Amino acid sequence: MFKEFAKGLSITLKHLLPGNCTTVQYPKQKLEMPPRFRGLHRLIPTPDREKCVACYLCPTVCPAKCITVVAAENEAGEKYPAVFEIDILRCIFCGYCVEACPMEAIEMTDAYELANFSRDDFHFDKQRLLKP
Amino acid sequence: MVNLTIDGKSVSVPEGTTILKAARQLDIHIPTLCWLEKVSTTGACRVCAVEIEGVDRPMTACDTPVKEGINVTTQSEKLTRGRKQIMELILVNHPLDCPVCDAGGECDLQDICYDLDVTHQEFKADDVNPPTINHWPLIQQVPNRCILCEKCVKVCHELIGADALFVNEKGDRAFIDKKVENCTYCGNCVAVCPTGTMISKPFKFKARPWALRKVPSVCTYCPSQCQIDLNVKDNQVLRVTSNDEGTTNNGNLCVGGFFGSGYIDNKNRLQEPTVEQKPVSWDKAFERVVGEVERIKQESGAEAIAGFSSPRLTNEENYLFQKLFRAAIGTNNIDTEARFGALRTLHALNKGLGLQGASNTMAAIGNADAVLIFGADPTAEAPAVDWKIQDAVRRNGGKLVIANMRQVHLTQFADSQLSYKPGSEIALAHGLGRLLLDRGHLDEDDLKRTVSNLDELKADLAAVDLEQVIAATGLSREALEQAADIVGQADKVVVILGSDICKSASGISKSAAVANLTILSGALRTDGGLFPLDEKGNTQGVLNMGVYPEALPGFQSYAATKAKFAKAWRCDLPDGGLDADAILQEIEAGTIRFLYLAATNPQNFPNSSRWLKALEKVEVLVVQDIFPSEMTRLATVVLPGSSYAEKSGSFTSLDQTVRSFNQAIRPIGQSRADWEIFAELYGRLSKSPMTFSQADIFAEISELTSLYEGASFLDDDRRTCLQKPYQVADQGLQYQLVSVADGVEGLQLLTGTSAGHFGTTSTWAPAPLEVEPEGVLKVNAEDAKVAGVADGDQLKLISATGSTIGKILISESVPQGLIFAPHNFTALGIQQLMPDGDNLTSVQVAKA
Ligand code: SF4
Ligand code: SF4
Ligand code: SF4
Ligand code: SF4
Ligand code: SF4
Ligand code: FES
Repeated sequence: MFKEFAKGLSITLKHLLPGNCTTVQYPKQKLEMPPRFRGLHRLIPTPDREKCVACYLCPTVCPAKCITVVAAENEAGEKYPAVFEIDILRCIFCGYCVEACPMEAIEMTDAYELANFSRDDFHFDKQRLLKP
Repeated sequence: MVNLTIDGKSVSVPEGTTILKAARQLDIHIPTLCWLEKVSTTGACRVCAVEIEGVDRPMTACDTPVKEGINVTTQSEKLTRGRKQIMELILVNHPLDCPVCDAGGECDLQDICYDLDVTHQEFKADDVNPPTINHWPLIQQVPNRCILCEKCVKVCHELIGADALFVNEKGDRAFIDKKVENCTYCGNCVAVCPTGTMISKPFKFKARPWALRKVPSVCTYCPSQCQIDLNVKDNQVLRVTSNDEGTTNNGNLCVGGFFGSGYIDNKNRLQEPTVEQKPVSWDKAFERVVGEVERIKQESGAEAIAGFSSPRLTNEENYLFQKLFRAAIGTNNIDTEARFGALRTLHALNKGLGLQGASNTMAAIGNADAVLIFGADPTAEAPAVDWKIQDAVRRNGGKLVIANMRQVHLTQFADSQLSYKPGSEIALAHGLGRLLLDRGHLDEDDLKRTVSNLDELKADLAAVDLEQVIAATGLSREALEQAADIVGQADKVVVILGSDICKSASGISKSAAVANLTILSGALRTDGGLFPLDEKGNTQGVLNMGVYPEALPGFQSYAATKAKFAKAWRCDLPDGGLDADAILQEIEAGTIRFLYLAATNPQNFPNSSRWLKALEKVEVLVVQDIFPSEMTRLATVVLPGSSYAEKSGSFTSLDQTVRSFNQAIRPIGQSRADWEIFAELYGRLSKSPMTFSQADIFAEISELTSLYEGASFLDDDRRTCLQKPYQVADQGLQYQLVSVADGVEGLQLLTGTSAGHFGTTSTWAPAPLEVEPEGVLKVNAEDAKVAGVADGDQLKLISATGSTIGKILISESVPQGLIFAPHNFTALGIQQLMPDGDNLTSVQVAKA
């Protein structure tokens, strides 16, 4: 019995030794997110516009109904999102929008530091979502 | 009956039924792509292929008629493989740009591929990649997405008779092209296209179909009242659709129904009440109206107050309007624009035939053996009637006689076109009547039973001088005889009369002459019918609700039934009552000091300048409308009403069918439903607030009138109330003696509605305005030559009452000596030239 106790304690003590600590010293230190992490959305740009063609699939599939798309026609006669907005306060980061997108125009980045000061700051419009 | 087995289930169907329809009876689904019930079968896609026992290759279900004893299989591995292969072949070079394609979500191609699990395709072909056609107005064509099912071509040709679309080029270069000048912009090609090839430009990219809420409603532009669905998103009507099944219009719409809803959220809509042109609260506006009514009543009595209501308003609103004026204000000086049209016909039909509108439901038109159109252009006045006539004439073997000064759209399908001289309608009706007698076409037994003054009828017909008729109408004897034979030989006869007759100052006599002809033609036998057209949405409702001084609701004589209504409404009802003509005179004389215009614009009355001058003199002018006009500029108080999409109510169609519709969107700005405005005024004026529900009003109407007695109510989305066909009682008809009016001399100007617009409302809708931006004068080439003008030139028209300048279109549709002008455009102002209450006048022309 004592043997087992000592064994357990030794593991604990081992972790207390420098270099073995799992606590990340956030915000001084930040974790690298795994590739499939679902953080803030990003709209993927093309050289002259956004890749999104305003097909309305992501607002349709979104369970939190936090995506607003308004389609319009640009000078070239193409369909594009005149408005693309995500209310990140309502978003549940499920990633359905990414899955639904037929154009691979929307992805989820590793950005998770989304705290902000006013409600309006949580409305991510097209310009903000297009930022790299 | 033929017996057959489909997927092991047996069914028996009439001979000639297709396998597809037989399968539907058994609720067995066979996929289709090019098949459309309402047009002829194309049989092009082969997706509907089924196996028949003993037949080697699969047969197309949509065009293979059933045979006794056959055993059909609709689902098998082989069939699925075949169907999949067909879809894969269709998908060769299909762009699959569903994300940007408006059809996405309601695309048959998508649906079938999904059902059959078509996920890839192995075929290859050179991609022709034809360019998108963008230069057609209102409709975009993306040939890349076309599957050449030809549904669009077929609706365009077979149902609308527009002959605009055709297949251009051959083989893999084939695409749907359009003779743009033939297009009526009915939008039916867009509606039937199973893919995203035909795209409505006004709706393009606006919304996905699944995001739209479909509110069952009724098109209120014309009295056909097609059953539509308003497609709503974010308090906006984004498009209008209609179902093929369960609608009298079979899902077909015209430019008004399909493209005309844009006026609803036009920025120019009146959005707030004003008093003396300054915006005020509703309370202040009501206070002012009530204050003025009370002041004028005190100073000059209620006789100094008059009001106009409108066929743009619902049945309930018109009922409330007349109640407001009669019971709460205490005046019977109420009328509508029906005074210059439908009321005249009503007068004549009521007297001669005991009818207060059409004698049968619209469906009867489609089954007629002969259709006689008298002084009407159904394509412009009530497009859905045009389609029914085409049903009768082009599909069911009926014959068509058109008596019209002009050649109209339907002329191309007519067996006889009688282009009579302007003003000779009565002579023509007499002549046709006489010929029916002479050529042995009268149903003597029926006439003996139904006509109360048969002797008079006979004597009158005997006195008709055919030579005189020929001279007056300018028609040949052969033409008249041929027309009489067509009508006379038919069993089911339908007579349609329209605005050339009823809008004429002698509309009563002319309508009476047509009523006589109707008696002689046998159209009042059960399967035929008489259909007076009026181009406004709810004219029949206005008449039913008694918004004219002679009658209370339900066509009950005002003087005779006043007491009954006074008792029911617990008030005293005034004596007398002025009609529109008298109201105008009294305004000019200064005795009428208060005028209420509900959805009425006298700028569109004949002799409009006289009206305008008079209205400037009215002391208090209250205008309740949805758009600004000369009237709102003159108004003391402006009350913004709302369109039908923003309120609930019911409309009565030209065949007296009542259909209800529910509010689809909230009123624009601060505007209010018109019934709310009437109810509020009623409450304030009678000091007893009035509650309102459609059901209450309906109950009140049912109690006080016999309007809905014998009607049957359908339990559908629109709570449709259908009238029974009119049964003529013994001795129920009266032949009316009509004296022949004098013919007219010199160049004549005729007004009527343009086929692309409905009243003036549609001129506020961007889409109809895009295809027809201004009122154009149709002039015969000879007359143009005399005036020295060419196509597109400006022409000045001068009549006894006014003048105007308009662009001309040289057209063979008008005979020499006749100019046709649409009255839909306030800018053209053609009504200034018309004499009081008339639609025809002598004009002089000059190059402008
Ligand atoms: S699903 Fe993709 S293409 Fe469609 S609207 Fe969303 S981001 Fe744009
Ligand atoms: S027509 Fe149908 S399948 Fe073709 S792109 Fe449009 S939605 Fe997709
Ligand atoms: S809009 Fe109507 S008339 Fe024009 S092409 Fe289409 S179906 Fe034919
Ligand atoms: S345009 Fe549409 S309706 Fe016409 S043939 Fe092509 S797919 Fe069919
Ligand atoms: S205007 Fe008349 S014919 Fe055209 S869609 Fe409306 S109700 Fe039907
Ligand atoms: S649906 Fe039968 S061949 Fe197209």
